[in-house]
Amino acid sequence: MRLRCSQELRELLPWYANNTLTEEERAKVEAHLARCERCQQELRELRQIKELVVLSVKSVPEPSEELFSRTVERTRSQGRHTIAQLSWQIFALGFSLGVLYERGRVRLEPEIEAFGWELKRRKG
Amino acid sequence: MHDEIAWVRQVAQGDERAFERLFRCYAPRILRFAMSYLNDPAHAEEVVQETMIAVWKSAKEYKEQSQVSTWILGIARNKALDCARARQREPEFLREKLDRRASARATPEQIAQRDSQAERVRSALEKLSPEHREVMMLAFYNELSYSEIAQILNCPEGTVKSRVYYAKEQLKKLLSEGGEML
Ligand SMILES: [Zn+2]
Repeated sequence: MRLRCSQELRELLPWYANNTLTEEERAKVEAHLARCERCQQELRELRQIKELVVLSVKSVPEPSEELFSRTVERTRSQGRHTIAQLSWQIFALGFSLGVLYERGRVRLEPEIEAFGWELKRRKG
Repeated sequence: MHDEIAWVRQVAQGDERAFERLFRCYAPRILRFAMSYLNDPAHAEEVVQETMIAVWKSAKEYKEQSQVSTWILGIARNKALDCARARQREPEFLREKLDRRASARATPEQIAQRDSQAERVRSALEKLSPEHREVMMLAFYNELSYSEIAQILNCPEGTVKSRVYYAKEQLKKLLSEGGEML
């Protein structure tokens, strides 16, 4: 018996082969497969292709413990980096304000003066 | 089932223990995922590291309407593609050395037998367009569902399904010509 298979159904077969269909979709595919030789052949090909695709990639061991510690180390050093950068920026700002102030090029308002002092205090 | 969304929220707060849990849960998956793009263990490990650092830094931006897995694999995909691009700029001799180091453990006969078939399948896969090759790896090597792949690639599910359908036809033709498939 020659059955007509919808494109929609045939497009589900790869996902039947990789076992990721929903319960409902799987039941629909299985009901069709039971009666359709053409789709059974398609499924055989898909399974063979799946095997070959898996074979084409080198096998990998589990990620090493060292990979974990290296990664954590880098997240920490990035945290430190940010704090280091921030204190450098505060230092630079305080320093330039200080230089400008001492050279008398700018007259700082009392609030800004207080802020500059605060920055100097923080860097020290 | 772990509460992965809670882990990501904790990571966003700078919680290192939640980060460790997320790392242990995802590193094996990311490693396999990266292997399907790079086929090189040393570079794949690099992708795991870069991906998890990006997760640490951007956990705050995670949108809870997407799955944690597809969010992480989406990041891993970008890192793997960056790495593949960088490798293309690498001098040839450097690439060869890395590949040889990776397969140094098996006996020469084992390598010859297995690698020659793997090599033929790889070269057939390389004849597909990048889009077609990618969906074949995601569906058959990584065993992801069409909706997961659609989220990772940020494209409609229908596109994923039709790409796999046509890629399979093309690959079948290429593999039959090479005698890998009946
Ligand atoms: Zn059918």
